[in-house]
Amino acid sequence: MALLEVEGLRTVFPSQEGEVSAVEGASFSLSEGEVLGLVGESGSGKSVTAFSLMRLVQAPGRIAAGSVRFEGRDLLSLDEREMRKLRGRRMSMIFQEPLSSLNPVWTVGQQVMEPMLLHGGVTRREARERALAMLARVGIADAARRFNDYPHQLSGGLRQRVMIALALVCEPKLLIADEPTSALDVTIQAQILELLRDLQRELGMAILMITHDLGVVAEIADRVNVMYAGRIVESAPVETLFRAPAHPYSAGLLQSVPDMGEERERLPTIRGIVPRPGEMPPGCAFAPRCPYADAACTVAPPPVHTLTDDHAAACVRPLGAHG
Amino acid sequence: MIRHILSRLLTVPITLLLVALVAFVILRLTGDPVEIYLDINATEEQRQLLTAKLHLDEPVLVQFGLFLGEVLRGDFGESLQFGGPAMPVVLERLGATLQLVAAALTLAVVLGVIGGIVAALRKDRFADFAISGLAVAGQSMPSFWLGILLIQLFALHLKWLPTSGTGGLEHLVLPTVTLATFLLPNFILITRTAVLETINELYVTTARAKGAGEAVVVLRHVLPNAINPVLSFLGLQTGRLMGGSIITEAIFAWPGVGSLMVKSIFQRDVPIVIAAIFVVAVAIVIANLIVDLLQSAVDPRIRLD
Repeated sequence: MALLEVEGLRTVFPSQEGEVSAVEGASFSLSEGEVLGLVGESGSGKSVTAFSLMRLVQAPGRIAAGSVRFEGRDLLSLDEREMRKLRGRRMSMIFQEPLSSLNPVWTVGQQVMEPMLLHGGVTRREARERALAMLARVGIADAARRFNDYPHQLSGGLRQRVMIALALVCEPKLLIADEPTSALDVTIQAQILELLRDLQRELGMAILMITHDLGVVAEIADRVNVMYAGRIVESAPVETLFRAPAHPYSAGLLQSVPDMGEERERLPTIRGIVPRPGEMPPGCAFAPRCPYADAACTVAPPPVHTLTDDHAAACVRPLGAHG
Repeated sequence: MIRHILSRLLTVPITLLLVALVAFVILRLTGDPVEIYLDINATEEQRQLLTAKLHLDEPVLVQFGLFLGEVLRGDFGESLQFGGPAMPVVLERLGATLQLVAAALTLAVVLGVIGGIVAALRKDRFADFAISGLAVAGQSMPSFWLGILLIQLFALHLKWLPTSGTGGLEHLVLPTVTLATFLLPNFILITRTAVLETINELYVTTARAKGAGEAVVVLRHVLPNAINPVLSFLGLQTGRLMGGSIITEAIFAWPGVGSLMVKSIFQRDVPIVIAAIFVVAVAIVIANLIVDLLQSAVDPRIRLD
């Protein structure tokens, strides 16, 4: 049984033109111990998907439809108290900006201890010891000294390590990482990804890695879902996606990654931008930007084509299928 | 932290020197002291004697120097109404003023912060409209008018509380409410704004993602970050608070520094007025110092920079 199963998730926000969907019928699943990359441009709905899974969508936004099953329980039907028991203990989240995601008035140690104290079952002393051990585990060299530091006294890389420590200190089964390396230097990025990979193996947890960076996906993910305009448009193992993308959007994304070994006049880009929620074309949302689009693409949202057991694409004419 | 305190303490003597200068100027502007001290039938000889005794024949700078010396010794001259030195008379009244101000401030801060938090959490809902509406109304209401209304209702009509004076706790109620209402609206509105600014911060989301409930989120994560603007405002308002206290004391015949000051102004008892101004100034300086230290205690970014 999958650890996390998302079916037809739809998250909407009110706007002047009525409610618009930031996530429109997203379905995907995540097995225990699996690392799933969720890739897409800004505005594709990947962050909103992440917050929806934690049921932390900022009001007035709300989850309008779908189901989220986590460890066999339907999260969307849990009451808030039950949901709170899962957050930080069974499922955790880390964010892009480690400085703004840590509270400036509490020490690093206090913040790493907090999830344990909130969920109970430990004394302050045990929480303190475990927090210290966790800080050391995420690679903070002098954890005992850093314990009493405040976030603004640490470097960006250290802050993200602290964030990882507080997210994982209760050993959750699922970590949702929302662009955890996008704000960091490239060298630090690699270290943080390696750390996440190590911790994932050690703790046997699953990671939902949300990123716009295919390099990050290649580095860490087992499988990847490509998101476009609130929908999952392709799902495949990482190697398959990089070798033979089936959705024209995935193919476009891959082409626009600069290749170190190759000299090119100009990096190919996908022309146009993601349509704004509320201005979705009637058919395939990618059709206006798609080099292969024709009349069939503008009629209705394309059905999901299963290409192989573990490869599917929401396209009328997936690329692999016609040569 | 210690450096921070020391640098703050350094500004205290400078502030007090400026207060002394202003007090000195006021003292000289209020007319010839000789005219105030002596009655209309005094002889020229008596006048000259007093002029020499008060050093009024010296250059102004020397007079200011002598005045500073007296201030440092706590000597503000003899009170005309009470006969003795002015400072002890003022200090004797200080307790009553501090009691009133402390009670009013506690009420205003506690209700203001709670009201501000509730209004922010219920933004654009009924509770927010009710609280913010009352705050705006309260802000536009002069405290002397409110004081008189309160006396009418609770003292004259309902006869629940005494109209004025001191005694038991019941005497403290109306002046406290009047003075607190003077500051409460601002505390509500500032807390509301500060909480609204903080509540969308990412670290608040982090707290929720850890599994924190609303109470923990608000009290442990939002409030410590939102309280600093409230404290800054508190520091800025201590002056207004002392001013409000003067009016309130006068309305309720509260035997504090404020009512003494008003009475002494009418009696042209200049030594008492100057001594009272000094005491109030020192109180404001100390209050600001305390606010400063509180702020750096709450926010590590202030004390560590």
